[in-house]
Amino acid sequence: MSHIDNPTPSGAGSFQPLDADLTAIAALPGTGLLARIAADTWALRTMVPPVAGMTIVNPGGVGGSPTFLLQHDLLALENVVGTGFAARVDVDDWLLRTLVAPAAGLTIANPGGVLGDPTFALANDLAALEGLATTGIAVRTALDAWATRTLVAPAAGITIANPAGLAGDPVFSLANDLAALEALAITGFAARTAADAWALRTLTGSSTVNITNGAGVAGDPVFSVLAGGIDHGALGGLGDDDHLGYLRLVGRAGGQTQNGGTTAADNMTINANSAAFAPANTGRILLGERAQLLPFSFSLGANILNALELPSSAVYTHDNAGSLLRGYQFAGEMRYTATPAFGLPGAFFNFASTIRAITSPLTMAPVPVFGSGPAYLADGVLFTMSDALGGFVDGPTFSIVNAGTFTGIYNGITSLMTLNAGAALTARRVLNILDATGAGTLTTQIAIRIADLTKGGLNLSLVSVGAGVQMRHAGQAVFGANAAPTNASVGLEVQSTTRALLLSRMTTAQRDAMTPVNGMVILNTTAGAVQARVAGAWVGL
Amino acid sequence: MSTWYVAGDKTAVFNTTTETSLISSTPVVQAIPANEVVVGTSFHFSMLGAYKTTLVPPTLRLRVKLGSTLLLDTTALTPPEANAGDGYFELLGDVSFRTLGAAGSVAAYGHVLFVRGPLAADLSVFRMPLATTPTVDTTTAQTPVVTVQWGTASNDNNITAQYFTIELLGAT
Repeated sequence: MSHIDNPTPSGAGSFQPLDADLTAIAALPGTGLLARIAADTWALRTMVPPVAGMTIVNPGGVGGSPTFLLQHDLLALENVVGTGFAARVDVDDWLLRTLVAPAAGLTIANPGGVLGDPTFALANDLAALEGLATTGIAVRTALDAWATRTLVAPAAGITIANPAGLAGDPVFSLANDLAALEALAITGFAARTAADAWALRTLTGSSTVNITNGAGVAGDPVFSVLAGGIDHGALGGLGDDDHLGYLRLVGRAGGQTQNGGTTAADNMTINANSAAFAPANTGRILLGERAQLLPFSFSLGANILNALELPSSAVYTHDNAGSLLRGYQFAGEMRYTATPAFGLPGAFFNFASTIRAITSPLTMAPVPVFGSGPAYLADGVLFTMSDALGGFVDGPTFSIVNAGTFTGIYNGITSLMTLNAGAALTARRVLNILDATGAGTLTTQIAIRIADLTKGGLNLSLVSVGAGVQMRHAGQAVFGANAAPTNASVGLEVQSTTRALLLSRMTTAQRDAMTPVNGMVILNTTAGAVQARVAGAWVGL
Repeated sequence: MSTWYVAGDKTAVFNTTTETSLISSTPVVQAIPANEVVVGTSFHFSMLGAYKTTLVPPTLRLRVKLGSTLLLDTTALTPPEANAGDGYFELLGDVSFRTLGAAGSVAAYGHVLFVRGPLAADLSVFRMPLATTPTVDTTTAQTPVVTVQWGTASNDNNITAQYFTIELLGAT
């Protein structure tokens, strides 16, 4: 073709000239979409859809406009309704999803991504863990609260390496006694032999005691007494079940009672020695020999008629080595509460009939020997003693009963204070008058006259040891001289040219601890001044 | 005459305009007990010490009280200038109980003198009058009090009680 059959005007009075492009297009042999692939070069093209997701109807535009149709995944995505994250749940199947936080520990802001990026935030326990600032083992201390801890070993017995778990796992090691126990290699009872030292022991029996399972390995150790161990028959001279001479009180709750017979002739006899062996100086029967450990009490029953029956002799005799009654530090009382029925004159005790009771403790060591002659109590003589006497401790208490009369105490004391050569008076309490009690009448005034105590180590004639004892005197008093008061108005006077009145000396604190009364005068050693209580206050003089 | 109280230490008051005690706390001054005084019971106060002032001396006020009851009062006075720290003062006062009870009364007289040199001009004496007769409740304990109050606060305005005694003069 050399010209255009139907030229198209391109401008007023002009036509598009035939060029190479048109010539190339005219030369195309088929149908389809035109594509200029180079200068003056054209080719026919057809739209080719992808393998999946899209199809094209009329791809070459021959039958009409090319039409794109979605399919498969793209079609499913397009059909999703709503907002959120798209999730492919199957082949060509998509659904919307939203990030869902757990019930606790994590929160998500904008979980569907609609308003922005989803943002995760820690909460509760996870937030507390994240907030820990120190190192160590994490411990949940309360709801949503955590703290770091370090394993702490006891003072001894266990050590812990890496207790906080920082450099590795905490490792426990035994130490001291526990380590020694763990190191024991054999079986038996563990015995601590020294600090951090243990050894295994085994209970071992003897010829009379058998022990099974002495090491306790197979069960509890069991003790059994071997035949002949405590069998009565094994003891010399005794047969089985022969309890003569046995009193086994040890371990018996409530003690043990040894009953005698049931008739008058069934006496219970305790011999210090066997009848077959009776030397001149035999042994004694001792009661309460261990009384130094616990108080010993020897009690007689209420129906005792003759508690102590002496040999049938009018006068009890003894050799020089023994005595009828002997006691050391005897703190009780020897008391007779009824009319005494002592023996006739010349017997061991012989009291006049007016003496009704001895109620004061007597402490005598060595054993006193009463008079070489009749030892009764005569008027004015408390005791007549002819031998060494250890001394009286606390004088006797006299009780006047049954309207009796007691006289001559002055002479009696004078007699007591006569110390013969070789005698010793160890108690300086010359006269101890406790009180005069009872319904009787005291007709003789008590007067005490004390001369110089030339034998006394102390120059105190009267001593009161009770803090609550009061000394009262209604009349005038003169100290320092055996002289009358200066005049009738003197209450308390110190008469001396060599001695002076000595005030109470005390500190301020001691002064203030008193209950003060106006008129008191003291020497205050804190203030270094004589002070008097005046107008309710302490003033210096 | 008996010694009721002797101060065991000096007491200085300076650099303050607050009314402040001039009695040492060592020992604590003992109170006059309730219902112990009789008509005629008297107490003699004697305080001696040093003082110093600024070049222009400020005012100064000394007061003697029983508890809160004012007995003697100089009111505000101006002592002789003692900027060199060479001032000396002496306060003397006597208090005597006239009537007893909750509305008891006392007679109180006293003065204070200031000396800072040998000249007559260096000596000033001030009375400590009260316009009314003090009323003192003798049924309750009353503690003796001596105070000072400077008109101007300064370290140079310093008064120090070196000696202070209270003596009891019993009624005859």
